[in-house]
Amino acid sequence: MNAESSGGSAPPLLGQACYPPPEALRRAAPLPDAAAYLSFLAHSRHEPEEFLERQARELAWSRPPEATGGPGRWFPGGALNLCRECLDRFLPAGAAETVLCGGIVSGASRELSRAELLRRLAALAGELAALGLSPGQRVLLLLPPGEMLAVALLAVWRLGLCAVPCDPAMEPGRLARRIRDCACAAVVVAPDLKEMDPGLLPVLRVVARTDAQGTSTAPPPVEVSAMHPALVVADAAGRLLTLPTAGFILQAKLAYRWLLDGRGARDRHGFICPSHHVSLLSGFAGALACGGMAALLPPPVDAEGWGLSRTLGLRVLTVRGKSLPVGADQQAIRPAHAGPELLAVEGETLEPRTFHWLRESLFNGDTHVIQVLSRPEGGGFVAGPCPGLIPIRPASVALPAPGLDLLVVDRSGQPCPLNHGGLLALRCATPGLPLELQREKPPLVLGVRVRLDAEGCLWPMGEWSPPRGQSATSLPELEAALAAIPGVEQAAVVAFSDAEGVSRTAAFVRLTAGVQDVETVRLRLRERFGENAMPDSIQVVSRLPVSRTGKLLRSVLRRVARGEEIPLDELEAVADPETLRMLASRDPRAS
Amino acid sequence: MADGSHLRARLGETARTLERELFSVLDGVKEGAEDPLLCCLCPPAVTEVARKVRWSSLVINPGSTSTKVAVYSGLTLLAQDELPIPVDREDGVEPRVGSVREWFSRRGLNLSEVTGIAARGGFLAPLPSGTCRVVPAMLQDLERAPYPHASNLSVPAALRLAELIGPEVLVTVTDPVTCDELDPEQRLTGSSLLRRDGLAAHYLNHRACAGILAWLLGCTSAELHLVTCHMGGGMSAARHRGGRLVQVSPGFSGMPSANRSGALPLHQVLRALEQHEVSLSDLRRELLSEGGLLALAGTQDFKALFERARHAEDPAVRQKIELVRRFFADRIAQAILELSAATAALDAIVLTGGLARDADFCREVSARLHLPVPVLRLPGSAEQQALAAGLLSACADPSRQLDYVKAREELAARRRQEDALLDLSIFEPGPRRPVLPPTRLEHVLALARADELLDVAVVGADNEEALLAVKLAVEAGGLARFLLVGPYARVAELAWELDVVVDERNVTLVDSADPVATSMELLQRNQADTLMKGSVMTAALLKGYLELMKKKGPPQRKMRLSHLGLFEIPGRDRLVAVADAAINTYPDVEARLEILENALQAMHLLGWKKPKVAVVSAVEKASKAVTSSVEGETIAHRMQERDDLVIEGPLSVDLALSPFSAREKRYPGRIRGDADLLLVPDIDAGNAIYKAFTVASGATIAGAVIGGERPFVLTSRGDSSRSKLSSVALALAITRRQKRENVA
Repeated sequence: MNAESSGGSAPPLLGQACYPPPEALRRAAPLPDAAAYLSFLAHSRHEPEEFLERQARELAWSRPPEATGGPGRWFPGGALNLCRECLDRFLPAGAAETVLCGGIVSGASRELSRAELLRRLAALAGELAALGLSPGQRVLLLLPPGEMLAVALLAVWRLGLCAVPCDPAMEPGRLARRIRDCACAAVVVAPDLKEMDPGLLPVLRVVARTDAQGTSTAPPPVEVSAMHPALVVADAAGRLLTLPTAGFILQAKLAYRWLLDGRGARDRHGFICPSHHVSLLSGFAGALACGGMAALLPPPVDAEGWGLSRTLGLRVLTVRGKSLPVGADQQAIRPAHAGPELLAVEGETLEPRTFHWLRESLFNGDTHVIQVLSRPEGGGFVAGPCPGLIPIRPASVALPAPGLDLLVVDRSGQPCPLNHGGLLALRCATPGLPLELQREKPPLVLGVRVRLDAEGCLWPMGEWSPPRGQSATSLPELEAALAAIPGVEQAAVVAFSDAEGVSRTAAFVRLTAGVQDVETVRLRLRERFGENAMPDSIQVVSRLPVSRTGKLLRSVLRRVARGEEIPLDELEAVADPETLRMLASRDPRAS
Repeated sequence: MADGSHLRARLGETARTLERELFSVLDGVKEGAEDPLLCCLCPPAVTEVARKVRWSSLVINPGSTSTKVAVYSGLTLLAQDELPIPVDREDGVEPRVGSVREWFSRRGLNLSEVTGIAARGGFLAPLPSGTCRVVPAMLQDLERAPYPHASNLSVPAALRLAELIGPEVLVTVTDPVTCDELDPEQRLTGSSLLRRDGLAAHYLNHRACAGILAWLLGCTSAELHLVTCHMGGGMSAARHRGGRLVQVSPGFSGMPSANRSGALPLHQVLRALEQHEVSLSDLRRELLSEGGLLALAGTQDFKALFERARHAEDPAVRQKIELVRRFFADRIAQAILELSAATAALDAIVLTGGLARDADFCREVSARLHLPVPVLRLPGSAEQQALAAGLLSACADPSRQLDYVKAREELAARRRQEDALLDLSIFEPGPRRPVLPPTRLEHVLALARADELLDVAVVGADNEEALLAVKLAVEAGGLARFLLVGPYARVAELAWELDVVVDERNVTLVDSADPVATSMELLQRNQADTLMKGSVMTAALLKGYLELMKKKGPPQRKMRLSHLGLFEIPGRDRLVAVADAAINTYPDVEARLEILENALQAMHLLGWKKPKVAVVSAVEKASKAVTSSVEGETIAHRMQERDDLVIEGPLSVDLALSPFSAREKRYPGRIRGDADLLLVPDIDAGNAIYKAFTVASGATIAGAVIGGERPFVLTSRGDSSRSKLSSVALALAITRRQKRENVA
């Protein structure tokens, strides 16, 4: 890639502006030049096993993995704990070092040392442990970005639980859907949310307090497998995706080091993003796991946020492009002081004029502004330039992150020619990919439209959501799979909403006597579709309700599944009312 | 493909037995029992699962006068019916859905029990055959359906019903009329302008016939080499090979049918159009809705016609009916014979559709074939069963479903690949001298082309119309480089949507919050040669342009921007220019003289040495009662001495454009129906002429705003893609010539 300085304060009207890395960043870069970085990237793509093995060696495994593994089974045999990876491993030597800068929720900044952080999370972890939650269960963290969120994340990970962060500022309808869909076992809320509608939060709740003294002893870290669920995030269509423990932290550390210019000890990074955004979660975990410091700050990027970033002395600030002010609002936050050394804007497209405004107006042309791309489907940061080594072209996210083999495909999955707009995709599964996508047939589309130019740079062209419902296992598919199991004589699967409004499915099967049992049926179904697509219940019945014309009455089955009474008029329509009485006498959810 | 000789032998020996078996299968279709045709069409594994699971399937097949519906429980036909559309009620999705709901309640069926809906499909995008799950992209494609057809209602109606039932219901379409599996050689015509598509054949029934025959023979349909001929209200024929329909005689331009003319002698059509003996609308009607049997006999009902022959007392009527009967038998046989001209021997010919119920008529068709191939009858249609079978197969094995968008894109990509071969020049044509003055818009395109590309700034490129024009121009090649000026993210997203390739060579994004100002800056810096209007308001663009011109200093003459439209009208052998139909609203005489001057300059540059200018009015003689006639006379008088034009005014449009009218009215002037430029009195008259040409006469327009330093392009939402490309070409052609002759 050629680096040319655009020179002057105004960007060129035509032709791509290209900004070379500032000298300060270049001097601190971990590699001598861009060529060395490109070679490192190529190696990570062409020798993935060796690359992963080397990266994985840096994780604080309590039991090292037997191998690198592959899609759906990365790092088999390995055991680790995310809280230890981010915090405990640096104790007691670094106990006094500051690792977390507080948010602006309380109107003031606070700084926490590792020791304080441990005490704080010990209190919350103790409360969560007292609820009797078992590893892998989901805990909703209904918290704004800030130290409460940081404490809650580490407490949840310490217990081997799966965190589902959710920003209370989310649009109410979307928030309600997220809470409903994530099926969490407990929720951690901010004190000001403790009176929240009980219908919305029907599960056990714990209130995270900023003034908690945290004198209790922290429970020991629970060791979990590499593929253990660590975090649940959602894609643009609201589909929940579960990030695996080892893959998530591995990708987060790589992104922190190579895309966000992370330098480890005492290096201050700030993130201005909503709580549930994968860039904030990945950046936070990456910074702490590399020994750096992280500040989680709520959007938007306004005068207060800029002021705080200075107060906290942040060297690198990652903000969401959508949170940046536009038009007249830009004037309101024009600071008279220098900003962070590196500003990373995360999002689909950082428009050149916004780039220019950020660089010239806010930072007098000194600050390096980069655009990075994170995708929940990709497990965190997926692309960005390596600051200090790769020149910046406004509106481009430059190159794939280390270890990711990205390509651009059309809607049928075929590679696009250069400069043809297509969909960003991963050529093959990586350890950081959500569990739901691990076994999908590559290329794995990442929900963003891009073009790839002749120099290998990626240019985002907006978000893209796959057509709804195409990847979900349909009811007929489940029914057909059940019917195809030897010994299943008849099968029906119905969808219904339970009393809490959660969508559920129930299967009813009629089996050949003595040939098959329900556990085998369940096993066969799980083998084919995995746990996520399994019906909530499978009930063995001796007959299925049919009408007098021979039609299977699924509406009756839905009522049975909901545990409702069957109206008399439907009894009359049924060829054999005895079937209904037999069905109604059993609770399908029991099986 | 397996050697079909054993199948041919068996078919030859047992054709009549097979036909009897076929009839017994057809007789077995009864409510309350398993549908034998459906059992034939479902793969054995699907049949087995469907019996166990008993999916409740609704089949919906909208026709022009009724909606055919059927409900199955597994393989059992519970109910079927044909729901007429009352003649006094408006047709549409809601009335069709309402009639289905009424029917459910009348038959004591429960709509909420339905687990899947099989819909007919309609004019979707071209697809390979198979079953697709219904997706929103289908609705978008149906909005752009090339032909109105009742089957276009089936997808929206099925989705509406699915909404009423619940989110779990699976909605599919199977083998829509837009299947396209043609072999590349079948897509060629003798013209480089047109390529055959596979649209508008009864794919559902053709494939079902092959499936049923294969089931009877105990083989797969991929092993059969067949010609099937659907003889229903519409008629189409297809040749099946290797499980694909590799050649078709389509429903719109092959055989005549109940209300479609079928193929017509093209040279006569052209002549009739040129002589104004028929209009495009006449032809469209004949081709799509009022031709065929309806035009020949006044009925769409073959059965009624043949019945009439038996009872008509008038021998002339009987003779006419006999003539019509022979005509149809001839045309059907010819279509079958055309499809039978294959390199491999056929296994069988199957006659199907409602007309196949008439054994005598089928014998008449067979008698004309003289082929050593058994001809079988499969009366009626198996569309209902084919739709149900597609749905059941999709339920039982989702991997059998085609992903609509993917299948559409893959087929389009394959066709593009084939097109590259079909478009390949074998002998390079020698250099062509541009035709001057241009008589077709293609000539304007040729004038616009050069090795050195011009730079066009698209002002407000976050506009679909403008980007489509850019895409067409880039694909046409050799015209221009485009600078897409506008908000970067929005333009990039739209470029992605429309597949505009932003390669920084032919197309470059220029980020701007104020596209007018940025574009003017590009013009001022000579980084753009001309402009194309995008999302910005025309008034804002003109204002920005005039301000830029002011900055550049006083013009050589008073500047007036005006619109010039070049129309290519079917049936005319030359282009007609119109000025000004878009910019100046009610110009006075002086303004109209400036508009005329603008148009003349542009036309001279394009090659008109002495254009014939008609100053249009309602009358040919100046009358105080008609202001435009007085003004027309003044304008013509003031320009009379010029030797670079022929001008007459006032002149009515018919005298200006119709030699016939000029002859009939004995008009003595020099313009007798051969005007090159119509100078219209105001925007009302101009716009009326513009729309009359494009909407009623099928004209294509190339339009540009002229009068400034450089012309610029205005495209309208209503413009066809050819218009958009031609408009770009017109502005570029003028710009090139201006630059060459240094006029500006």
